[in-house]
Amino acid sequence: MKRSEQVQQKTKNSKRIDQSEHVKSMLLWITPGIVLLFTLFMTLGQNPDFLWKLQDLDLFDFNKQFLLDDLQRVGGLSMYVGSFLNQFFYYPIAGTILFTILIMLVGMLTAKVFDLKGWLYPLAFIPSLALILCMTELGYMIYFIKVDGYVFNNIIGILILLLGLFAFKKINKTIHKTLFAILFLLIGYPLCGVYSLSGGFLMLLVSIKNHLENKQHSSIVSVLSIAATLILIPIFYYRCIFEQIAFSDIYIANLPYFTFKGAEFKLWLPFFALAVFFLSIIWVKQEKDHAIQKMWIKVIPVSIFITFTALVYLFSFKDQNFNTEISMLRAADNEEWHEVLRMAGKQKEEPSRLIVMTTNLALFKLGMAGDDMYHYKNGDKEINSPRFIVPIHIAAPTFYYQYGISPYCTKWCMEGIVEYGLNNSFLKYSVLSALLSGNVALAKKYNDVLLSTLFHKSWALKHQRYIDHPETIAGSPEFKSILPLTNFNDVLNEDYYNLESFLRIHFSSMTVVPKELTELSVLFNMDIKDDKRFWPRLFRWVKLNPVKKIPVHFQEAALLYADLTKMDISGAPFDSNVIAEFKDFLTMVQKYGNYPEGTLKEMFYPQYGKTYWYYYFFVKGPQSTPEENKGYKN
Amino acid sequence: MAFRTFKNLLFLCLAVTWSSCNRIPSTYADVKEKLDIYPDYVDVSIPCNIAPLNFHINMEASDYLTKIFSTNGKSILVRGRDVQIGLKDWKDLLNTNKGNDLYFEVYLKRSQGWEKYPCITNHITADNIDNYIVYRAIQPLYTMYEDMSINQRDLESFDVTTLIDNRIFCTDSNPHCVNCHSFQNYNSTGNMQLHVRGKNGGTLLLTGNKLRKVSPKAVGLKSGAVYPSWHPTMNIIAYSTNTIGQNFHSKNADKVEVLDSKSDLILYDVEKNEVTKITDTNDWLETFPYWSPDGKYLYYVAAKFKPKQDSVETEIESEVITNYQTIKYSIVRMPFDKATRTFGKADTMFNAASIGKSATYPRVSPDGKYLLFTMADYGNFHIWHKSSDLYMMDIATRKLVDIDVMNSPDVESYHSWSSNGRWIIFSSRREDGSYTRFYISYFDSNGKVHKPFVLPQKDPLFNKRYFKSFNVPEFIVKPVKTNRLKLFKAASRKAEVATLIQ
Repeated sequence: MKRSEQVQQKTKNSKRIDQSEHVKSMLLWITPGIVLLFTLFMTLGQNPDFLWKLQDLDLFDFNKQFLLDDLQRVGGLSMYVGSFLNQFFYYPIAGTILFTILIMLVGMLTAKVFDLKGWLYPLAFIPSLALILCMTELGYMIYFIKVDGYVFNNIIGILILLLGLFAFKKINKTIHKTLFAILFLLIGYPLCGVYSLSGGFLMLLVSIKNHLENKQHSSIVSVLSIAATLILIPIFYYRCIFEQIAFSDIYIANLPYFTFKGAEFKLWLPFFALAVFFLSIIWVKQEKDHAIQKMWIKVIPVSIFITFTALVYLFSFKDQNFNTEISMLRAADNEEWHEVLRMAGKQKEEPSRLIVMTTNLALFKLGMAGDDMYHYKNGDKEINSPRFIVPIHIAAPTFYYQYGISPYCTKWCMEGIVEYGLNNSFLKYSVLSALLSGNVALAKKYNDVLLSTLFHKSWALKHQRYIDHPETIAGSPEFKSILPLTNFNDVLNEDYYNLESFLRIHFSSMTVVPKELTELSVLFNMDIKDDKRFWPRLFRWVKLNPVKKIPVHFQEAALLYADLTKMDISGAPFDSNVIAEFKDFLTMVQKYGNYPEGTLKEMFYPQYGKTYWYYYFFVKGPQSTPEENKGYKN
Repeated sequence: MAFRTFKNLLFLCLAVTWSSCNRIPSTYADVKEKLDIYPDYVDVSIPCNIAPLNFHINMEASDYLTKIFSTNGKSILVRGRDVQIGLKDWKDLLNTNKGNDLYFEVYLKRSQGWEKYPCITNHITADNIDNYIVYRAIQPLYTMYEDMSINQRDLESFDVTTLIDNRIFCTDSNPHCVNCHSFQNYNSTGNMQLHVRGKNGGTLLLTGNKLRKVSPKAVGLKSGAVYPSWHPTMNIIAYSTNTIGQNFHSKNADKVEVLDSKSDLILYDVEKNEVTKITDTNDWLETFPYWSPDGKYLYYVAAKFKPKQDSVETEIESEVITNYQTIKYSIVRMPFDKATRTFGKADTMFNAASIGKSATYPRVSPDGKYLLFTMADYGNFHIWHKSSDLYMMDIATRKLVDIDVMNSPDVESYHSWSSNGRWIIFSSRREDGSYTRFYISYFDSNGKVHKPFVLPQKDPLFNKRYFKSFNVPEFIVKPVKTNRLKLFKAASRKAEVATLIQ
């Protein structure tokens, strides 16, 4: 090559190196920038109410006993700290800031521990992305998590793993390394369970790697010692210290209880990703500082990072009904019924039963059910959950409390407390149902826990007033609308995990209908399309409300039932426009009655979709079984 | 030399500081107002070997000082709102004051100075209580169960040993229940049984050092063995076999009804692994067997319930649910011939049904004179019945003895006699209507019961902060000679199925 060409080539290479170095240095801030923005997008950018729910289904209590209880479990300390941090999701922004800081810390620490610089730097944030997915993939699984402070618990576990590994690598002498690894496992296992074992395992791999490189006798001893400790430490703790763990769980303690079957399998993806990442990255050699790197060395890490980010987004749980339910139930917890209806009004896709039930509850609370119940979208869209779940698992305390059935509210709070432990949601509804049934001492027991929390203390202080002065419960705005709903006769029964069915039977089947429950008894008999029970309850409602206008849907039902049974109700004080509309409806029925049902649904919906008549003929709700009817007699 | 001097000086300073802090104030005002403490350790009679009665002072003050003393021995001074008494000092005090009164003298420091409250008086009896109880810790649950344990509590201290925690068996997908721990003659023989329910469940039998897993549900029996009672001198266990269902009240404060649609009694031979039927009737529900202390009688409860003819199981359950308030149990006993292992004619000891009530858990005192039982308005699972109270009958006269001092407006239920017959431990939900706690009552030699006191805890506020109930307290005279790992190993084996002898 001529000298000038050589110089040109050198200049070109030099320029390429400069550009390459420039891009490499940009990665140092682009990568964390992307991760930061992605974290914010996947948290606050999706559904802040979901973040709020994470702390609602958890508890952090500043009481000493709370810490001692946690320490009795393997991984207890990381769960304790996890719950502490999780509580900040009470204000989603605050929790997100903490979450984001820790996510970024994981990335930076990973880079430090594995010396990921330059083009390899983006790989350092793979664990961070996996930890984001641990949260964003959950969806309905939040109702099944038994690891306290789950979202932060995983992060703390990884941080402990990284810190341990960092310290291990810094130690020079093999004997000191070995002792450190043993100590790390001895102290770490009770505190963070599987994460300390993983850290220990990585230390083992590093030791093996060192042995392969150095071929020293002492390194074989180190490898064997660490391996033995890894196996024996959990057994030691199982036999001598921890009484609350099954042997089959000792090597996986502090992991969530996801199965490997069916749709739940994909919930393990972030954990697999973490495992694959850590197992691989140990063997990665650092790039050389000189010469032009081959293109693939630059491209692959960046591609992995970008692909993984996309996969995290792809595998994150996205379901509009789930988001709507969470937001609606939060509004229901605060008795913001207009907010519930606002969300119901925005519903575009077919709603789940829980959305329909919450909407109906809000309508009833606002006194609008009789006029507007059929104005909102109805549906029965299947719950998009990898594990079987029904509305009762999600919202039983809310509904039973709001409908005045406090023993069942208590029951489902207790079922939840037994299976998942105390959390803010169960505690609150336990306090409310205890106050509703007049058990002040029990309300105090639960309320005292909430008084020891950071963010629910004000709620607890407000309800402490009722505990201190139970005579104020009856007249308080909070209980005034619910207490009348408790005025019914006791029935011995079961809800068979079917919340909606139970409510239907409860309100429609009452043999003695107190005046406070008359409206509900009319509504629910309309719901189950029972004209025989409907009439006496409608008459009772009219008698109890002589000056009130008969709600539109009541009129619609009456006109329909009268027509079906050929009953003469010509003297009924119904609106002339409702009567006229019904006549038109009948005319249309006569004209098109022979058409296929699917076609009729489409034909009738534009004009009559918001009437009881449409509901009666075209909406088929779930029916109760004879088992569910067992306790009731007509 | 200098160091030693320094050390002595330091010790002297600490001693002076401590003693000046923990000294009765020289000036104080006498207050007439009654002191409010929790738990209610006021006017109670306690065993001379019980753990310290730690308590919490329910009144606001800037400082608290409590003096605990009796007729003899050194008084104990405790500073702080939580009065936690040192174990050694307490034991010494009790040992030197059997039969004497025990006093709590409390001083509260307020803005105007120290105030002395009226002395609280309790009584130290000369009667020991058995060293241990075994009980289950479980939430007041409905249908789900997650974590529960069977524990042994040393009554002379606060030590609790977990005999078995169900999580040693359980995984998330495979829950287990542990229940019905029962001992032969206060565990004096080392014989114990408990059930493990769930996948691969069974009954664990500890006889001496041998642990076995059996299934008394022999082929031919419709349901498994439930409530046990080990004969005091023979290796036989009386069980009930029950078909149990649960239903829930939509309004009633009792919340849950646990109902038997069928129940009978069987006799299980521990050595031969054989079962014989004691009762097998279609129109009576017999359950909760319990041997008299001399083993000559089997006590149980029975309720008349005849389902409609040709009813299938689900229909019988429906009938039970519909008629649950009419099912009333009375206490019955049958004489037992130890030589032939046969039972004589049943004799109604207490006809609760005739007075519109329902009795359960018959327990005869160790001297054979008294019958202690629980009674409520109907049914047999009285832990869920707020109307449930304790009753005692003089067996000879068949007259009820007044033990109302033991009862409260809320549930009183499962009870046990101590081996010397001087103490009764029972379950009560009087504190909050939901979480069961143990109360101990003195039954003196004159046949009088005394005001009960709650089982002492190291943290005086433990009962308020603990979210589990205590269940089925059983006195034992010596500790259980096994551990959770051995029990787990035994429970993991296949159960030996018993043979039904017709």
